[in-house]
Amino acid sequence: MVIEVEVKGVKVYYKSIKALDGVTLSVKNGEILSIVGPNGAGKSTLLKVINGVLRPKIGTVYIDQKSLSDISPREIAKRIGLVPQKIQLTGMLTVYDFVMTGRRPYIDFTPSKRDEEKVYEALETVGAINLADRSLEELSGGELQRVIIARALAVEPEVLLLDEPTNSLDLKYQVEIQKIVKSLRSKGLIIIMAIHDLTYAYRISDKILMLSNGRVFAAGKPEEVLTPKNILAVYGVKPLIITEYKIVAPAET
Amino acid sequence: MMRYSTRKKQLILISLALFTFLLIPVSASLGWYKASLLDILRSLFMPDNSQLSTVIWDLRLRRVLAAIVIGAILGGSGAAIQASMRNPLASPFTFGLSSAASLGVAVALLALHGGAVQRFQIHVYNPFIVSFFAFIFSLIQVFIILLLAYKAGLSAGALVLSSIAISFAYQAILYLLQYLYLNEILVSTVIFWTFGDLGRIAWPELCLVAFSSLIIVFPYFIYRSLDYDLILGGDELAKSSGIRPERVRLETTIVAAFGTALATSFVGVIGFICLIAPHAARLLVGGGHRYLMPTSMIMGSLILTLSDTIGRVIIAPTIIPVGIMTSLVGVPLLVYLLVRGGKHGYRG
Amino acid sequence: MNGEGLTKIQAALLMFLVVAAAIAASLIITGYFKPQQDGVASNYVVDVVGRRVGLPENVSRVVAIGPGVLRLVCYLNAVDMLVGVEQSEVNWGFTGRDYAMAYGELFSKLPVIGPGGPGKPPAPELILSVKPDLVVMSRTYCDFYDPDRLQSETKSTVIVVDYGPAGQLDVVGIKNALRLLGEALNRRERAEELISFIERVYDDLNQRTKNVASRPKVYVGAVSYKGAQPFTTTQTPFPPLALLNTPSIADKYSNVTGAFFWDFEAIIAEDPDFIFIDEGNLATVKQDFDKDPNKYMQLRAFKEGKIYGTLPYNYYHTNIAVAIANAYYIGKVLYPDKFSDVDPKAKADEIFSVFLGKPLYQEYAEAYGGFKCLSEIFEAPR
Repeated sequence: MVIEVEVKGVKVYYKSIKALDGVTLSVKNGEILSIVGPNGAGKSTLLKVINGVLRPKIGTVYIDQKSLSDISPREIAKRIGLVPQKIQLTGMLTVYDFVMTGRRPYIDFTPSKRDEEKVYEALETVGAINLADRSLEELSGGELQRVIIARALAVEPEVLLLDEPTNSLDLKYQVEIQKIVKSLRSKGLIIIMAIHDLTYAYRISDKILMLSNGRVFAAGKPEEVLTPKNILAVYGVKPLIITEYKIVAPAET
Repeated sequence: MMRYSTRKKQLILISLALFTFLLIPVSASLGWYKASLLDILRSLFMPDNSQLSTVIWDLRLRRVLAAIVIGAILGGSGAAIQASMRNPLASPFTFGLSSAASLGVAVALLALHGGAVQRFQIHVYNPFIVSFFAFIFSLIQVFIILLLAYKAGLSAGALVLSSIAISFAYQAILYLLQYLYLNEILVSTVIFWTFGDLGRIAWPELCLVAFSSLIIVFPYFIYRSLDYDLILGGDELAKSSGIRPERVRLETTIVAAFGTALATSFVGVIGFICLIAPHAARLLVGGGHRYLMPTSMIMGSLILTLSDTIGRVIIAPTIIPVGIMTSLVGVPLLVYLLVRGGKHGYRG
Repeated sequence: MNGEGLTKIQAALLMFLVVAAAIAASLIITGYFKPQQDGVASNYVVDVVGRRVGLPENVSRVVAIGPGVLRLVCYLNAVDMLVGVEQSEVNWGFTGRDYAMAYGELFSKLPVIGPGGPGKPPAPELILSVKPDLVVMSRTYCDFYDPDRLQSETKSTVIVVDYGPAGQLDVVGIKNALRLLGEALNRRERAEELISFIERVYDDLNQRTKNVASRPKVYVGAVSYKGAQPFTTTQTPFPPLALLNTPSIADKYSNVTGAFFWDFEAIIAEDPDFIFIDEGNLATVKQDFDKDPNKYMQLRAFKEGKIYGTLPYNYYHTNIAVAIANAYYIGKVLYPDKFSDVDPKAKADEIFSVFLGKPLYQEYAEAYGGFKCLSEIFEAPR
């Protein structure tokens, strides 16, 4: 089954400021797309457009050739899983309950056996099954991040959106997440990540979309997009790129 | 596969429910009017027209049943509002329900009494008029708040802010009315009315409250339990899971306000339960609303029943008003649970 | 540092002087250093809060502020001296306050000299504008407004008066208050006249009821206390009953003098023979009865129709005349043979005439119901 997420010519305004201007992209299943760019370039905004939370003023998002506006929010929620950058931590929710909220689009009255199974599967995939009864507020940054990913996985999505997934993770867990994301790709998921760590993006992505001031500055394969010229133009910093190891770092030490 | 923690929560919920229902016969047998246990049991199961039966049924049992129903409404509404607003200090009374109800009472009294002269007109008097005005004014209050919040996008913050603003306005109007128009007698009537008193509700009114809550209030809160968990994580997360948090907030506010206004219009203002019951419940069964919601309701019933019974019995024949007792009973309970909870990992 | 403006010590000294000057100025302005009273005071009395008050010689302009004191002025036939009344006296209507029912018309023609009402502070500017010789102030107002301050603000003489706790018949307090105010208003004879009337009435009631073989069980419900009250509120002891040497069923459970709130169950347990209801709260009781007749019908007095109405007498302090009139009616109901010569309505008019120069029973009856049996109102619905 081929699923494609296509974003055509999207324009989004925040109080008459153009947050996104004419962004177009296309991702097929089994592909990882990273969206890079400086802070405020519109990465998170683009993610919100893709899962239908934000409606663009102009432009459409298509999933499997169906426009998002033709699909009910519940259906969208079943097909697209979101790993947000931050969540609110109130009310002493347990990890299990939190991940179960991801199953909401499938639940009518009470969770079924299947819902329970999927929650456990998701927790296992991210290696957090032992945290099931812990309260969210007690988790470390890395544990919380994995739990949020588990929640998105419990959705059984076809598309996984991740907003800065490696922010609070140490090296070990960064590698873990890399493994998880790659295995999901081999299962056929479409993965779209907003990420600021350029090395990570280089190593993990099949395609990269570089945003600058709400516009697409460059798009294509990682080695095509992550060039010193592009990075200098968009970030204003001269990079050191080691293609052999796919490392992108500032040239100044 | 039943996890240990789930079983523990179920056990707690069932124990609380059992304890609360056990309180019914216990409370029915306590009171100033002395009678043997046998007579009490006989009156409970075979009520007749004797003094004892009236005491047991109309003066004791009815209060307990009212406490259970109204406690559940208050506890459940508190939990629902706190979740949908992501604010552990929110309650239906944060919407200024009590000031609106008092204002309604004041207006009703003015309308009935014509302000200056207290007329001896029993034919005009309808026992429900004051309650009706209190209820209507509470709903108007909520409507205004929702209108204001809707303009601002119905975010959690907008709701809280508009509630506080409107509450102050209502208080001011009430004080103005009292200062200018109501004589000594009417002012105290407003105060007397707003003092919570479970003895004030009659059987038909109790049935109305019970019926409405069983049909509307309780089912709605239980149905929304998962959504409350969802909203706790943030509006963004909630939208990505296909629900509209503003809509849930709006519905919750309306249902909670309806239930609370109904109860308040019949028994006056009983504060504190909305705030305390959900917190106590959370310390016992955690934050997941699947168990938190019913536990909050039971906790509300329990605290209110205990408060009313103790208040009735402890310095008999004088009755300590239930509003005072809820604080006296609720606060040590909360402190105990907080201390105990600290050891087990549920931090407050 | 030296030479560059003020040193720290100089600055501190300057601050101290400024602050001291400010304090001194405010003290003088508020009259702490009281100037001697203008005018020659020939007569000194000690008022009810222990102030030594120099009474002006010819008092002809009087105002009264706070609960109960205007009543005393009216009882002492000094209404012609009034030059202003509180707003509440007119706003609240006249019904329920005996002195207002007698002199209300007059009050509405007088200028307003303050808001009036329990807990409302006086308005010195308004009082000042009517230039009274004497300001009679209720002791309860002293809880939140200093009478000496009022005295200097109104440039008048303030005398504080009270006749006991509200709702009570404190006969010593009443006598003292009448004598004190009688002295101040040049109504000494009138005061003594009232006092001897009260003593005669007390004695009369005592004589009739001191040797009674058995006393019935009585309960007085819905007694006014700070406004409307339900059936379960009573007063212990209930002054009119106390005048009749008869306890109420609630007396033994209460150790406070004043309002007593208790449990309906306890009333059922005691099951009194006679029940009196304060007609001021009759509507409240009737409402409750309509909602829930069953519990009331468990009381023998309700079943037998032995429910009677008394006139409310606690409104902006005790209506002494009404309280005494109530005593005669209650006596007539409880001990008909001892009161066979008494017609309570006529007696009430007699009492009103003595205190206020007018028979007021009819007006009271029209407003509240009057001395009557209430059994028709409280009939079991069937």
